[in-house]
This record gives sequence, structure tokens and C-alpha cells, in this order.
Amino acid sequence: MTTLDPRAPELPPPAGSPSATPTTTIQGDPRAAARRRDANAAAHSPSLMLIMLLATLGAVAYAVFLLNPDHRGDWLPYSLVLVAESVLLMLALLAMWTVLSSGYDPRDFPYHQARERLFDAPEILRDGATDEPTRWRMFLHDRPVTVDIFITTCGEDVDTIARTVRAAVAVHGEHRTWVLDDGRDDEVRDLAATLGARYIRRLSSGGQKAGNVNHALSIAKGDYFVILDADFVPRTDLLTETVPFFVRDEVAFVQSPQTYGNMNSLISRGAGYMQAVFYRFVQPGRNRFNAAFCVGTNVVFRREAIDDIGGMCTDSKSEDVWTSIHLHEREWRSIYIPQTLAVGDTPETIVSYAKQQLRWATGGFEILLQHNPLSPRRNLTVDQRLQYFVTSTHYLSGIAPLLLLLVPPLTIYLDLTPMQLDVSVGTWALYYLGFYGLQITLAFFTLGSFRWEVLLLAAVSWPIYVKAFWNALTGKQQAWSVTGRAGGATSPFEVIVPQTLCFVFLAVTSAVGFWKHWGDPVPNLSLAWNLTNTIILGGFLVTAAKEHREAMGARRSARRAHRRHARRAAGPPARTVTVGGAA
Amino acid sequence: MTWTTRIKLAVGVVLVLALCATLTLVLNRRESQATSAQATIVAEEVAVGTDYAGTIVESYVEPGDTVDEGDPVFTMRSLLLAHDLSIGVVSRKATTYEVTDAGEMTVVAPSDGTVAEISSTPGGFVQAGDVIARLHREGSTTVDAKLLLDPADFARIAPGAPVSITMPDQREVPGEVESISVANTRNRAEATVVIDSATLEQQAGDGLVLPGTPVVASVELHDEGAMADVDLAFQRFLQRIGL
Repeated sequence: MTTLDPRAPELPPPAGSPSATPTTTIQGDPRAAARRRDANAAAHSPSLMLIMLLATLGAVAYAVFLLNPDHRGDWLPYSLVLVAESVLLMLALLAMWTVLSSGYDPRDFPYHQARERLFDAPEILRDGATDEPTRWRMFLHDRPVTVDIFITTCGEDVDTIARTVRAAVAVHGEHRTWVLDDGRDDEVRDLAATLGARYIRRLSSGGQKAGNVNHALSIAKGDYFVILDADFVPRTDLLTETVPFFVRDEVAFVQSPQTYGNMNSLISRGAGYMQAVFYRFVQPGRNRFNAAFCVGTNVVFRREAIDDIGGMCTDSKSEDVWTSIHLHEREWRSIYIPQTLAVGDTPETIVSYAKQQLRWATGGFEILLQHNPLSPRRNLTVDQRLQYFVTSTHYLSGIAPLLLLLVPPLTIYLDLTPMQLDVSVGTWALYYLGFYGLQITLAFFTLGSFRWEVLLLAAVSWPIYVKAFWNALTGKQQAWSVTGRAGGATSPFEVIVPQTLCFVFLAVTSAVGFWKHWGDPVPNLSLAWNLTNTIILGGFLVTAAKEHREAMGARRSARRAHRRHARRAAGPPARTVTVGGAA
Repeated sequence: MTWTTRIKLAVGVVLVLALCATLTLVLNRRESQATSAQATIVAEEVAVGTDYAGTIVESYVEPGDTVDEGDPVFTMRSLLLAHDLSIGVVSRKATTYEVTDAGEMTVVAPSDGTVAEISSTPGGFVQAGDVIARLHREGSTTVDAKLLLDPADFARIAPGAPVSITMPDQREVPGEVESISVANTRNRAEATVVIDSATLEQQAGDGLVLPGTPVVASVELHDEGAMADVDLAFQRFLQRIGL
């Protein structure tokens, strides 16, 4: 550093092109500050407190209702209901507690000060780079910092990668962009060269994404590095928003949310909505306890911190959470900001959704079973222990629906009831809605809407979580035997055999229930539940069938194109073959 | 879809349907049975007593003993009886007792049965009209069962319907409905059924077959639904393979 001049607080507007940086947050822009607060605005509302209080009361009342010995029915369905509802109640209460803590802004005075002094205006003017924000050097503690952006790819579509690389190169602040290609695609190499990014290809593929990043860290030597998945297109303010946090020496990483741009199928809407709760309220809440964890993309790491724990954790499928817990154990700080800095894709198909959920859930259960955060051997604060415990048990709530699905058939076939028969339907409905109704109200308030797709996905995803639990228990690493290779579409029925069989079971059970209760004067509650469950699973299967048709169509046309290609290479086509090939 | 998945699906559907079929048969079995809310073994009681006050001289039986009609149960001595004899008010021989000249009276069992209770020991004084022993009359052991039924199900109970009586040691004893009486409780039929069982009568007095023993009675309801034939066929199949 050559100049000790105090840097100007405001940059001169880029000469000649006022529209060149419409989305860049220049220091002092009031709208930028407003945008920053928007994502979890509801967390600041006093009404949230009221709804939380009511929802807590509802949850406690429901728990008391279930535990009342006078209401206890037959032990088998009763224990199924009790186990499932206990898990759901406990996680709901803990989640509400976390959400209540989410109205917290991690940006403190040192952050704002560092942000003001991030760029050296005289230097920019001297270099004549006012129009080229990608050349602006960033400073922390008045020393220049070097930043690497890693884009991890593994066989994704070249167009997707190009979009991300182009945006990454254009991120404001001087940085180097690297494409870490595990797909070993020459096309991607040429693409990186064209777009001005560096290209790294490693010989082995051990450790998956974490191994890929670790390998890149042995080549790229920047002070900070960003990890982006191939489909996450960064905004230009990615670095200017995050790098100032590192002015505090104990900050190990800054995480920003995964925002999705493709909410256009039932699966992606459901999955995206579930993620929205997590990124808008849960992560900011965890931030307060210094327990926000890394989610593998849209994250800026301090290299020194990763060196401190010996590189990214490569032992697990969910290297991100493991890396975070190791960092927290070494007393590093983590920062989460609920502000969109990159937009990507959420799973659109059942197959990709199942793959993603399996990976995440296995990671959660692995922490619970192999690295229990409540164990006294962990060097974590009480807050962090609780928050990691919630993370590791969160996917148990995905197994709960399986237990609840079994209760109505038990009543229909065997007359075993979870509750005493003299508990009237009205009483039950009152307590039940006291819990679930208020949870939905809460969702309405915090996110502005409630999507039935979430309920649908939550009710039908249990086979994924059961499998994840089993994998974590047995230490089975090989995750999913059927993977949708890039270009080759996979039928969703490959991964939803349990749901299909469950649907058949419930449908037959409903029919038997109708036969059993034919002519009864009062409608039967267990039959109504069973019908609801049948319809939910049926709706899911309709979605799957639609996807199956699309996948088959895609595969057929791919095959046809391939065949046509082969034929063209072979010689003049025979007319009869064309007819046969189309069939 | 791969062939593995197709086979998985096909086998799974078959298994699920088999499970549903079994569960439906279980349901139908239960639907065509009414299980008692309360059932007890009962027997007709015969009281053995005396018309004269006096002292018991000898007792011939103990509780649990089987007696035939005419077997002596106890002997007593009564001064009043001796006096009545002397003036000829009573005869020496009646159906239920024999009297000696000395005024000793031997009371005999009025019917075949089992001694349930002896309330006086030799040397004890009894008043006129006291009951000294109780017998359970042989052949009178039945089961009294209370069933809570839907009105529709009540119509499906008929005398002669087979009943399975489960003893406290989980032994099952066959029986059949002898008579039915009914009361209305909260718009449900509270049927009281008397169940006859030849096996129970044979075993009366042995082990658990005592009046007052709680049992569970499952009354077979008259089944004329769509599942009746299927159920019958299934039961025959189970019998055939020895289950």
C-alpha cells in the first residue's frame, strides 16, 4: 500500500454512464439499506411476538391434551401419535424460538466503517477505472485484500455454467474467478478462457465438492474465497456486501441465502417455500447465537479459518455443515445476512428433489449420530449446542408423517384408536387447530402466504428421510443408485416406489373403510383422515406421472436424435427405418 | 423406468394387496363377532338346611366335593325333633333327610352337584331355617355375558349361535347361545346372553371353572354380508392347513 491518504467516503459517479451500475450499492444509498432489511421484515414486527405467544400457547395446550391420561387410547396408535407429535411440537417450539431471535442485524459499526473504506477512490480515479468496478481493489484495515471466486462444476449444462461465470467475472471489486471443473469437460475449459476466468481440473475426484475446493485452495492463494455452485448467478454486490464483515478478525465466513429463480413447478414451489422459511427466519435467528451454518454456496470464507481446521471437511456428503461445526468449535464466528446476493435453481423434478433432500437429511442425521452437539466433548456454547441439535434433528420431522399415516388404517382395520372414544371430534379439532392452525397463521404472517405444496411435499417425503436415517446409521456413503445424468432424464418412479405402494395401501384402506362404515349416521374421523392422506399421495403421484411422461418424452426424442445422427453418419437413410424409428 | 423398478413395484403391489386382504378378513372376523363387555361363569345354587334347631353331630362333605342325589351331607341332633317324633308329627323318612329314633337327623343332597360352601362345623348350633351348606347343581353351569351392541348387530344374534368362551388361562371353550334378554343403554342394545357349554359342564368345579370366574365370550353374529362366503372359505382353508 502506497498511499496513506484518507479515502473519500463517496465515489464519484461513473462518468458518462449513469446506468452502468444501477444495482451496485454505492455507499450511502438509502434504498440499498431498505432493500437489505426487506427479506425478513416481519421479524421486526411486534405483532410477530403476539402470534408467537399464541402459537406457543396452542402448542402447549395440544401437548397437554395428548398427554392427558384420560384421553389415552390403545397403546400402539397412541404411541405412534405421541412420538410423531412430540417431534413436531418440539421442533415447532424450537423453531419459533429461533424465528423470534431473527430480528437481528449483524451489521455493526465496524462493518459500516469498513464498508465506507472498502475502495480507494483516489486510486480508482488515478487508474481511470471509475467505469470498471471489477478493477476496484478492496481494502480491509487499509490493506489490500485478494479474493478468489470458485465456481464448482460437475457436469452441469454449459449454458448454465457460462451464465454463472459471466456474472462472477462481473462482480464488483477486484477478484479472480476460477472454474473448478470436476466434470472434466473441454468445452467448459474453453468457455472459462473466453470469459476471462481461470480453469482448474484435478486428476482425482475424491471428497466431491469439498475435495474440489481443497484442491483449488492449493493453487489459488487469496485471503478470501467465495464458493458458488454452477447454477448460482451472483449479483454484482456479492463482495461489497460481504467482505466488510471480515474487518473483525474472528469472522470465518459470511453466508448469504440461496434464492431461487425457478419457482414454476409444484416441486420447486414446495421446496423453495420451505427454503424461504429457513433463509429468511431460521438462519438470521441462528446468526444471533453465532450458529448460522454454511450451506455450501453463496458463501465467502476467510482462508485462514479454513486452514485452521485443515481444509474443508471431506468426510461427509454435507461438507458445509460439518465445516461450520468444526469452525464453531475452534471459536470462529459466522455471519449470515438475509440478503440475496446470488440467484440459483431449486430442484424442479422429484428425482432432483429427492437427491437433494437425501443429501441434506443424511448430513443432519450424521451430525446427530456421529458428532452429537450436546456431548460435553464439543467445544460449543449452549446456544450453539441447541441450534446444532435442532439442525441435526430437523429431518426427524420428515419421518413423523409416516407414523401419522399408519394411524387411520389401524383404526379402520383393527379398531385401535389413538384417543379415548369419549373424546368428541369437536374437542379434538379445537386442540388440533390450536396447534396446526396457529402454525399456518404464523406462516401467513411471516411469509405472506401459505402454500399447500409444502404440506404435500412434507406428507410424502418420508421415504427419503427414513433412507437418510438408515444411511447415517449404517454409515452407508453410496447415496442414490439412480442419478439423473446430465441430459438423460430419469423417471420419478425410480425413486418413489414406497410412496406408490403407500398410495395403493391407503386407497384400498379407504375403500374398506367405506364398506365398514356404510350407513353409519355420523361420518368417521379416521376414514376422513385416511381419505385426505390418500388424496394427498394421489396428487403427488399425478405430479410424478406428469414428470414421468415428460422424462420419457425427452428420452425418446434424445434417442431419436441420436439414431438420426448415427444414420446420417452411416449413409443414406432407408425410408422404412424412419417409420420404425418413430414408433 | 428400469425393469428392476417395475419388478419392485409389481411385487410391492401384490404384497400390499395381500396385506390389505388379510387385514380385511381380520376386520370381517371381528365384525361378525360380538365380544362381551363382561362375562361370568354362573351355576344354579341349591341351599341345604334344616327345619329344626339343633347341634351338628357330623359333617360328611367338604367344599369342592362332588355329591350325588341322596348322599348324606351332615347329621344333626335336635331335642325338638325327638319330641315331634315321639308325638308323631313327623315321619321318619322324607326326601331330604332321614331320622333315627334318637332324634338324629341326616340331611342328604337334594340333587347331584358340587359342594360350594359349608357354613357350620360339627358341634355348632343351628337355628331352624338356617342354610348349612350350598351346592352347585350339576348340569347348571352356564356363562352370563353382557354385550354392548349396535341395534343392527343385535338383530344378528340368534339362539343357538356358536360362542367361543376364553378362560382366564386363554383356553378356549366352545358354547352356544341359549337365551337372550336386552335393555337399552344410550341407544345401544345391552344384551345379556346365557351361554350353554357342554365342555364347561363336564369340567365344572375343576380348576378355573367355578361360578364367578370372569371369562370373555365372543358371540358369532349371523353373517349374510358379501364377505360371508369368502370368510368361510378362508376359515376352511386355515382348518385344512392345520391352523
